[in-house]
Amino acid sequence: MVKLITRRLAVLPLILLAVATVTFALTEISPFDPVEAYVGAENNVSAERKAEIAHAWGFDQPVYEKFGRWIYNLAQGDMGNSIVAGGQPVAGEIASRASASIALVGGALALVLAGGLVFGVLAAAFRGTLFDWLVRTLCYFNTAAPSFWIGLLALYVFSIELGWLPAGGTSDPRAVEAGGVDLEHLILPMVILALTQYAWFTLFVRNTMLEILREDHVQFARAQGIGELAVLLRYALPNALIPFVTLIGTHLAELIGGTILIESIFGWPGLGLLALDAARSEDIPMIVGITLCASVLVVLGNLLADVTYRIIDPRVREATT
Amino acid sequence: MTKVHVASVGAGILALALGVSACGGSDKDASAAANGTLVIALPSQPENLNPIASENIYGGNLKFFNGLLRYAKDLTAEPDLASAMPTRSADGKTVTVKIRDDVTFHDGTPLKASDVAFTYDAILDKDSASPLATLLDTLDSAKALDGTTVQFKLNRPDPAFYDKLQVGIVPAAQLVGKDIKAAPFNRKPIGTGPYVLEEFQPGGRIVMEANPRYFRGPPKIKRIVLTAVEDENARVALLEKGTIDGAGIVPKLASRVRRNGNYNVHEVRTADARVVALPNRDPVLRDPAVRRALFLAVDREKIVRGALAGAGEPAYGPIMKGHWAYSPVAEKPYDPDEAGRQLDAAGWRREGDGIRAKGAKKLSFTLVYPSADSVRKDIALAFASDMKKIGVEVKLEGLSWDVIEKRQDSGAVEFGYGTPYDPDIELYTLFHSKFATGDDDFFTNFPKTRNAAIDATLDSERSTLDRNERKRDFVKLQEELANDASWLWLVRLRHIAAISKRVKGVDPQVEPHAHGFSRGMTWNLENWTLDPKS
Repeated sequence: MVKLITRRLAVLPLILLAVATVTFALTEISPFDPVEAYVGAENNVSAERKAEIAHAWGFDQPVYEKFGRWIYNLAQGDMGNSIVAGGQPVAGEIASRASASIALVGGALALVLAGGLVFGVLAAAFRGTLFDWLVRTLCYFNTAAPSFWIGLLALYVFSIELGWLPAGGTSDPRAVEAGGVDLEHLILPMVILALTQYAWFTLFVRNTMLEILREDHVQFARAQGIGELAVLLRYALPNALIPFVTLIGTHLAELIGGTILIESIFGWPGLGLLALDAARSEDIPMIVGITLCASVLVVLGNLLADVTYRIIDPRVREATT
Repeated sequence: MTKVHVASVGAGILALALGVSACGGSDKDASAAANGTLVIALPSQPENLNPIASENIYGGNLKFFNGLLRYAKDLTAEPDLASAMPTRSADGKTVTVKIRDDVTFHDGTPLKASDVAFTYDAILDKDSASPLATLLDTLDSAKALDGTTVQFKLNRPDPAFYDKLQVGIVPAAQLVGKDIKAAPFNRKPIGTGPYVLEEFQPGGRIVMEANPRYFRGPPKIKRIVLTAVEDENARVALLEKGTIDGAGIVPKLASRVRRNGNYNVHEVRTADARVVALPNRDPVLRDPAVRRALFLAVDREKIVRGALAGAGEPAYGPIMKGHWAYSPVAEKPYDPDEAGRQLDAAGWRREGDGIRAKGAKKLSFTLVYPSADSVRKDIALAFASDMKKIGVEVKLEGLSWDVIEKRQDSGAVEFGYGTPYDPDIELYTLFHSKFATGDDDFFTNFPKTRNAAIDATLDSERSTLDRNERKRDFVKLQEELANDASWLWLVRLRHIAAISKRVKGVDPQVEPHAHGFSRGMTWNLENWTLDPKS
């Protein structure tokens, strides 16, 4: 186990380097023009002045030079300065925006877990009933409907037409305290983000449960006269942790990627919206900074999942030792 | 593994989510303060609050700064930090400004002439990467002669220079020797203006507090919050809920806000025109006869009634009606029959499908508009339908600017331009052939017009300080532009803003296309008052 962890952590820098290289290469072929983004559309800036601006910011350097300079600065702990952050250091801007995204992703994870467990387990317990059919049909519908569509629909229905929930932002702008994250504001974006993972997770929990309910030791427990509820809670439920570990391990990346859409729909000032702004302005230091942070999270999530698999599932332990 | 573990993992994540979300409780004091707060929604948050790094001279000034001059309600320049109007030397190449001696920055340090010189020199410094450098191309240097006198040296007499003396002045001590494009000052601005920055939440809100030592007396509204709401429908929903007190709205939604009853809906006259630029290298649009015919076939009144829901006026040229340099020379009535006759004469005849053609060439072109702008889309649709009536096919495409920029030589683009200030500021870069050279001139001379007569009037109007002579040049320019017809003006918008009826003192100024908080609707924000909530 220790060996697994050290080995993975040792490769992490290499992974990050590879991610940074690919990101730099992608920005090179991106259609966006950083100077135009900097001076704004429909602004009368002459071609000479644009060239000077490009030079001052280093936009005109060849990509390998940009990359080399970036690596050199990174080695000294400097991730560069960002245009979309008004020229401020990348690291500081990411740190100040991280809490909004952590609240969103954390809340969505919790919702997926709670909702998936409850409905997946119940659907399995009441297999073949109308309830089971309803849970599954809604899951298929949810899988088929794109999250930005559901998000916009929810925004129009609950915020704009019904007025039940705030239409975007992390807190009431009128509040006297410094802007933070308000629960009322969190609900809609959190639910919509959770919905991107909810369907497969619920169905996965349901199938896992059905398999377990068919296994010998569960049948044996039933034969001993233990009640159905106790069977569910004591024997079957712990196994639903396996889909959850998979959620953390392989779908965390999707959840993080989903924040870009959700944050832009709900005007949520987190890292997803920042990533979008940075991409539109071809703000390379910021794009690379956010990509690396997301990569670290995904690698750590994977590692956590692998370690947990080994703890909870003896078969994995045997197969890898 | 037991269920206890499952539950604790879930609880941990929930705690993580709720831990961050646990704030927002309010007590009596807080609600009293919130009552004296004015919340205004902008479509997006400004990234940079430093006037030197701002996109245009009007945009970057969020009431944290003052310029040497400012525009009065009627757009005449008047002293702001200056103690009197500037003086020009006989050759027009030296401009001297005396500044007030009773002004302090937000940090308490007094304003000096050296701060003014520093601000202008910093814009000229290539390392600052200032987008304002093009605007100040006529400036060679700025020098403090003593504590309250600044001298500007120009490389030619510049009749529009007073319009350029409105850059927000920054304290030199905060920025001297620093890399301005990356300075912390860009998000912690310190100026002389009526409001002081209290909070900058990246991507979220900006909170401004009244400056108690503002040299014209502290503003009446003590706290102003600017929040970013991109979606035009969401802005209206927030107005209806009372979450915000003011916002810019699109014409279509104005009646909905009027019905609400809590808002005054202000329609501000602007110079902001929507104009279709017809590239001179397009295989169909290269013929000026075709372009002139299209000009006659636009039903501008109908676009105003339809796409603008009445909030606008027809536009025929680059200078707005009522401006000192305006000429009605291009004002021609809607005449699709005459347009058809002119196209017939130019050899474009209607074919079986109703579209005109000349030989194998069809009279057809693409019109691209920025897709994020619903008003521009509606205008483009109306334009295409007018063109269809005279047998011209216009294919519409809504794209983002980054993609539109790659298509300079084929197809038309719907732009938004217009300034109510000195026309030279904008028109020279839009029409002079100097700006039709490379590939980097998309937002300057987009059609790549190379017209000697246009160049001559532009060079002549900026060679003199005499307004009557300049007016003659601008009249000639408007004539030549109508003749060349590379730019097909459609309408000028009225900008619409809804502001709570609790607010008194709103007295809008005519606006340019791109404007910030120191212009237009909010130019006199520091004089507004706010009635308590009933």
